[in-house]
Amino acid sequence: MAIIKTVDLAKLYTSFNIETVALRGVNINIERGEFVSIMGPSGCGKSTLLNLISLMDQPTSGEIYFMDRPVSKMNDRQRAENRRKHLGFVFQHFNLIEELTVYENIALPLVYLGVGPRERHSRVQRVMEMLEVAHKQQFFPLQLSGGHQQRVAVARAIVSSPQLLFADEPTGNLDSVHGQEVMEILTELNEAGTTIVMVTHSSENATYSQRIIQLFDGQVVSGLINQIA
Amino acid sequence: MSEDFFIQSFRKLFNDKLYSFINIAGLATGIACFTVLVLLILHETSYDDFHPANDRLYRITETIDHKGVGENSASLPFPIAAELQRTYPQYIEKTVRLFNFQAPSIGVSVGKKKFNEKYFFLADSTFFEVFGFKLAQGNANTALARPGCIVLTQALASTYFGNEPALGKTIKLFGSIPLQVTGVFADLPVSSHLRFDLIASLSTLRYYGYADYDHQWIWNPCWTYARLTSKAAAKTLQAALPSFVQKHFPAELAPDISLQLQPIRDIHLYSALDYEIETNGDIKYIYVFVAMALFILLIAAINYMNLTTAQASARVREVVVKKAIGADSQQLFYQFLFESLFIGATSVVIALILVEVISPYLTDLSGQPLSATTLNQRTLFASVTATGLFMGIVAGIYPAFYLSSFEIVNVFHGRLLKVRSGRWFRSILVVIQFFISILLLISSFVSKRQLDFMRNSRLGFDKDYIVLIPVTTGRIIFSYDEVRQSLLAHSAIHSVTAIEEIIGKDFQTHEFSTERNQPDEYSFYPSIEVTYDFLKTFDIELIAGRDFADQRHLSSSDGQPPSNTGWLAQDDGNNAIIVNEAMIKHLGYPSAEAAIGKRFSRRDGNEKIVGVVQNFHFTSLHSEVTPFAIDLVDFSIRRSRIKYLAIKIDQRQSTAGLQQIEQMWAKFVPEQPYEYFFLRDNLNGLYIKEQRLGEIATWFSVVAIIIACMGLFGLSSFVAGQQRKEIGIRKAIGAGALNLALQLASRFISLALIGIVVAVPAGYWMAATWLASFPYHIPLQADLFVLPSVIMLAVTILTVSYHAIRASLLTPVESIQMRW
Repeated sequence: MAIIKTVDLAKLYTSFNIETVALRGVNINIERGEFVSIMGPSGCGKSTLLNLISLMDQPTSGEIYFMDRPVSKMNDRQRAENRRKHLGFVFQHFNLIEELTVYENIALPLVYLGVGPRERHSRVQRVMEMLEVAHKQQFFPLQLSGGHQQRVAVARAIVSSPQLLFADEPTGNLDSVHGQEVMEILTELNEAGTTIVMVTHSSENATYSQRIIQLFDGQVVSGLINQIA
Repeated sequence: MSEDFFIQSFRKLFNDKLYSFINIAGLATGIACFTVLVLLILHETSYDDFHPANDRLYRITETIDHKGVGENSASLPFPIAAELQRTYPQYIEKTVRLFNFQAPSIGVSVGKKKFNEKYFFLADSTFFEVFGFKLAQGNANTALARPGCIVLTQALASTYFGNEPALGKTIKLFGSIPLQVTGVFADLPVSSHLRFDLIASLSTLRYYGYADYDHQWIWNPCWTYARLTSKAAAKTLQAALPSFVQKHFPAELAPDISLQLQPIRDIHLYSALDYEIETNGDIKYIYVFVAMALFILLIAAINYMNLTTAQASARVREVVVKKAIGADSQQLFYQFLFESLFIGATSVVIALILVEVISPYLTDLSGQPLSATTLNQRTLFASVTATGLFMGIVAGIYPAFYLSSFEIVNVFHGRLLKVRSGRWFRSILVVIQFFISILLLISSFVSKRQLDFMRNSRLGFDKDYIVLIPVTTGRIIFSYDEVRQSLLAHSAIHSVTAIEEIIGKDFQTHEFSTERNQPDEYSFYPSIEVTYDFLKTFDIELIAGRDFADQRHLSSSDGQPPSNTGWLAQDDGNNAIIVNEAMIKHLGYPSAEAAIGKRFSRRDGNEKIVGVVQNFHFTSLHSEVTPFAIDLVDFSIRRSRIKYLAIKIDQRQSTAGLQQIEQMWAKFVPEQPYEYFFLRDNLNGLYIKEQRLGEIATWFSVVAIIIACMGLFGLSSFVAGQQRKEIGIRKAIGAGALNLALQLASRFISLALIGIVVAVPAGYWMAATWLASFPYHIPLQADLFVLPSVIMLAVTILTVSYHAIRASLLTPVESIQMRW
């Protein structure tokens, strides 16, 4: 069953009366439990597609079905609620909140979900141990290495047990050793049942996924089963 | 969630120290200033609200108006209170009178110690029923019930009796009338137009046969208060007063007289009558304080809004990440609002400390310390906290809304396209800050100059090196001639006279019959009773006729009057009067000379005009010069009218002159405490309200400018930070340091210029409106507006140039890498 399905998805940006087509006629399906990579050259529309299917932005035309519900029927609040309950995000630049400790960063999604302190504590502890960052829990992001920051970011992304995890160039700011570690963590998560959608430039990272959606000039040029693997 | 908000806010405060310092220092100073002004306003508006039934408690006042000349008196003739109560028992519940002989001070003695008491009054036994003053010792019901009772303050009780109990002790009035202490006041509220240290029973006067004023319907020395049966009764009673006047006042006076009911709570802010007990406050100043309080708060709030929104670009990532992981706008809105409240709360703590530190120095408009009730801890705490939280919310709402409304498109890769810069809005806010600062500066310049003008204006008489000595309480006036001769024997003493009121400050009104009146018809004119050498002592210019001539001295020298003195009576005491130019105009004489020899007589005299003097300001510059008469006192009947000796001493021998006066005092009245003051100092006190307004305006404009500059400093730091890449690029392609510094500073300078353009006309209007309330005022010259503008521009340039110069001096690579 598709967790995300798009139908004739298009996105136009208008700036100074000049229209730029970022996406057009995009039809993709992402099934539950899949690990999908989105690839393509710079400016092909990868980020736009990620913004749309992660419920951050709205399409100019077409429809996105998230868990079989048309997203266009959701208001801002409902989309925020869906993000909160069902989606997790891992960013290239980690995007941790500098004023918060490792523990507090990881706990933040649970705070927004309204999870009580006791349950929050046990869930944060569990993911910190899983990602081996428990010993750094009182540190602030700027006191950590890039690899650790990304582990924290992953921990934050999965603490609410999302059904779908979006990763945007998750190894882009990491050296190869730490990059590989992160990819292995994502693979483990996927094997445990989390659907993962990853944007990447790296063919090496793409080998961890089961399917690659290739974009070019705002259109899907292939959505094949991963043959690189 | 609030716990997380708290932790985040706390860390934010410490991570960005400049931002936090500017915000907290600005808000704390703003809140502290606002609180101080609110306390001042509360104090000024709370006068006389502690009396029971103060909403139906009135003072009765009297207007005497004869063809445009007369007086507006805060006090009434003796019999009115009792007569009113007898006539209108259905409207009047209680009345009380206060009387102080209209003397500047009253002599009392305790054992062998003698004191001159400025705040001594005699009052009816109803004093404690009508007013809300409380006794710490004694019974309020009986304290003033019989003749010979006196109630005094705790401070005086300890001065007089030390640690011994005051109750039952005896104080002598005028050295002869025994008064038994029947009560000691509890702490007196400062916020009352009634200021006193001692209250004796008014019945004492008649009991000891001192005087019986109960049939005197002309002399009006009694401050008279009435508590009405209901608030509605005021209207009915006021309507009945004209017929009361017709029935009771002497027939020839009644047409000129009207009585008014004045709510007691209006006295302090709305009353500026003749013979007020103390100079009152003024509602105009309350409006000024309210405006200043709001201005200061606005400036501080604008700082916060500007800095927070300017910093937004640095917080965009935080907002969108939080949104991405599930926060909705409302949750973020509350988070940012919480941050504002947190900064507000921190500022409150600092503001409380600031107010606590400055509160001992706070005084009201008359220079009195603010009352304990206004400054009580709960009021202080409540007003500071309420202001801080209010500020946190008001100043925080816009930034919270602004920050939480960022759209999160392109969050991936850290690109944000849809962030509104808010630059225009910030610019408008900065212009408002400049506008307010310049307005405050203009008001402080204008009020300072008007004050200097009033203090240094040529008053038409000499006020320098004139020593005044109150003489109502002692016997010295009985030896006036010898005193005068003894003083004049010393070269340091130029001249000596004696006067009824302090010239330039107070005056009396007396009845005179002029040639405009029927022979038995009298009008009230502002006037003063004096002794010889009045014109000489005060250097008042005579433009026609002659000065009062002392027959005894004329005859002792050559026996002949000077040839050019015109008409000369045998005895000037009952036959001569000097008037001012305004009187000549009022009486319709074609010239000053034409008035010489014309009738201007009192009921018991045969006075004629012997001289005309140039107009001089016989009262403060708050009033225009009106017709005025100078009457030579007839020592045989009206010696007690004289209240002060006025002695002109030699400028170069002032110390010797003062010593001479003191020796004279010790010789003639050794038993009396000696006190003196300089006329100039006393007259300066007339403008205490203007002085305090000037001081307050100056302080608050300085504070406003400092707060605004802190904001500018922070804002220019952000702007320089935002433009650092641009600066690097410009430097790389050859822009000079000066050029770049100017470019960075120019935005703020243009905002300051816009502020000036808007503030100057507004300031002009404001100053013109304020000055119009003075009959004599300064012209609004250009420098009053140019100077504040230049100061503001200079301060702006200084403030923003730090970052502009710093940015422009970096190498292009540094500019791009620098973390601001």
